[in-house]
Amino acid sequence: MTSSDRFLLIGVGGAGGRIANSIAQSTAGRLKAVAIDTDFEAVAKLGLCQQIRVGRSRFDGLGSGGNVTAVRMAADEEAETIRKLLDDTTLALVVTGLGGGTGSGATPAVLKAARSLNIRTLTFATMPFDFEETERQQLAKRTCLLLEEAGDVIVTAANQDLCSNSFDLPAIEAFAAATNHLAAGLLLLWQLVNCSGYIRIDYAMLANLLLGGRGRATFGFASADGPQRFELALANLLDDPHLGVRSGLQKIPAMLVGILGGEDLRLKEIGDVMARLKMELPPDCDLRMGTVMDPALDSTLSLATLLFHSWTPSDAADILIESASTTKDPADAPRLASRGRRTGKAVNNLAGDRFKSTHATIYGGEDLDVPTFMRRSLRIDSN
Amino acid sequence: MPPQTPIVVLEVGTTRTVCMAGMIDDEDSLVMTGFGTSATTGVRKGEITELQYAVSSIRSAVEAASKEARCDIRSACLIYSGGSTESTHSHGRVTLDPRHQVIDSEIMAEARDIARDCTLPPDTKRLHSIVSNYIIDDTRVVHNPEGLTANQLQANMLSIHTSISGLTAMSNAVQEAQIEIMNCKFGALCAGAGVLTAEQKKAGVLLVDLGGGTTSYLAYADESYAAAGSFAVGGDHVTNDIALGFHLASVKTAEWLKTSSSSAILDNVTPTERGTIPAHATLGAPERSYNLRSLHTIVNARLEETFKILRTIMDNHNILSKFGAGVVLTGGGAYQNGVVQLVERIFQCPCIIGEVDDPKLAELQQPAAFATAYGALRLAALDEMRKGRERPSWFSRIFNKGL
Repeated sequence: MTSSDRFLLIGVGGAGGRIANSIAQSTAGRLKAVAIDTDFEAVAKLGLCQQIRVGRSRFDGLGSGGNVTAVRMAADEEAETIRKLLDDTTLALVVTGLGGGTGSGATPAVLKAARSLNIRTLTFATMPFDFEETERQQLAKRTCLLLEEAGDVIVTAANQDLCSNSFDLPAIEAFAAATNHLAAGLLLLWQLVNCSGYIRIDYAMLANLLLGGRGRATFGFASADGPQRFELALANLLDDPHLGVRSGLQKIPAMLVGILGGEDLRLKEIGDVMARLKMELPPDCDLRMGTVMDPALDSTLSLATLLFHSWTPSDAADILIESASTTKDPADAPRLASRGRRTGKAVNNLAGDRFKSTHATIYGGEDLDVPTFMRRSLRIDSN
Repeated sequence: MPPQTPIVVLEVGTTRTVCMAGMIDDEDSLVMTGFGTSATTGVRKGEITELQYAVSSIRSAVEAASKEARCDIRSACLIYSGGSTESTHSHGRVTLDPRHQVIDSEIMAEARDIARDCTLPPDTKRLHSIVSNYIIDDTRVVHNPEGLTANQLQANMLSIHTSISGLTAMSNAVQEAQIEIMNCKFGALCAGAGVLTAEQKKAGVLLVDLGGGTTSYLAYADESYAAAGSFAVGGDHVTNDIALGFHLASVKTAEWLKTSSSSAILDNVTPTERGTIPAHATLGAPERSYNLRSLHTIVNARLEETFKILRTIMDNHNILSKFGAGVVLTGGGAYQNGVVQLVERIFQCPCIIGEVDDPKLAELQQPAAFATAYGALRLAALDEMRKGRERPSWFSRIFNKGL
């Protein structure tokens, strides 16, 4: 099995599917990609992704209409399909857009399926624009907490920030630019373990990073070309207020740095980048780096960083995962294994409109607003 | 003799808002003079979600109580059962002067003050600080050490605290309804004062208030307050589960199914047994049938989970085996068919529905649904007495069950 085979890229919902397709396009089919959606027409356009269509009987393939609960139920019904997808996978890169029905409803189910198979997950979630309605914002924020409970490392990126450099463009171009930018950054993570470079990050190292860095992380990506490319790329990465890399560096416990360049990438540049970053980092920060050489790139240098907000040495993380994954009944869950707040200020209203405007009730990593019979997969004759 | 100011309590529940007014009569007994209720809107899971709707519900209940009590209600004790309420144990120690080792009220107050000075979780507000007991010289556990001799006195305290944001939103709604909040009490503590007897507390008892939006609890063990809290799962979740399970368009239809036909246990129902939702309950949709076992399964799953969570919480407090008097249920959820049997199976101890001894409430169909407000009225009366009314006989009459 090759490293590529171990990776599975999953795009959930409209936004997630588009980004996944864009990444798959860049890998020329080497990275297996899947798009999960309730809008069958939209997902059919993602030619480079295997398509998983959920909720046929509920939505007639027309999209969820923002009905998070119904998506959740539909995703649960497709749990076996999702699990089969994950067969032979050891690391899943999940891309999703939060605030709408499909991304918010189906992504937790995908992460839970992965967790049940002991598959490491890295989730990138885009958040609604500031100008979008409060309800979507709240739903997105709440879903994030569910993702934290269900997955390993979660990175959020606000659409506002992703499009910050293209607000004056027509909306369709601005979205495309944001999608491409995020896709390029995520692609670099995949390239780190699959493409040649001076210093490679192997699969095991990345998996350990995701295990040790469980929880929230910040992702940064910047490029520059020309003779001053390393200074410029670094400045773009550190000084962009939307990325928040510089402000995060001073207190983070662990960090992954990826450097992508063409055949002209020089060792001195790599050394300079790392020396500059180390100056900003706390002395005990666990720093990992890798480089990728892409002959197609001439004179361009790209940097991708993953800043882990929390860090547990991998041995301890192993125990945590083992404990969490073997716990079935939330009521019996040991508190240390459940990373959720018992009555958290949390997550998403997956249970329907009735609890939409309230803080979700989280216990043992489960959203108690979701019907118990659904979470337990109890058979109900609804007719 | 000037007219008494009525004692008023206000409970803004998820499904019902209750306002009760009381007076002390000439025979020194607490008499409920006003009782008003209204269906609550704008509250979900004990949280204010639509301020103006909630304000309207409060006004309706207060108006009804005012009318019956024939007085103008402008202030009240607020009952709060928000879902983020928890309790924390702390203790305060005082070493007595070797020359004077008799414990007096000042020494006790000092130990309590030290215990009360514990750190609470961030973004929380203290609702109550209750002395569980005192320990003398690390050996003797007593409830009133005054007059005893000791080298050291330790006060053990239970602090009940809740989320600031939830409480603030509730307070804002009450104040918006032009009601001044005199103080605030935790719902399960009030329910305990409403239905628990001194014997039950002595034997150890778990009170569970099953509300529409939250489940609150108060535990007594070793003759002391042992745990209190609330989490945001209630009867509304059961209704919601039924609506989703049967794809019902109306929550009212789900509510009808829950109250009229569902059971918390799966006994005596065959897999194929069916029931009918009559036309009047479908709100315009045609009459339809449903699988009865599926209905019971939905309700059983939710309530079993809720009580297993409670069991885990009690286990975490190491008091699960200390409920000699079993479990007492209050709140509207106490009348869910089969819930008493379910609780007995999960906790392996007797379970009863709490009895409210007020004659007016006893006439109601579900008196334990008002146990919280009634208990709050009793506690508020006690507060009045503590404020200095020189009528000590009130205490024994109001609290003839014992605190």
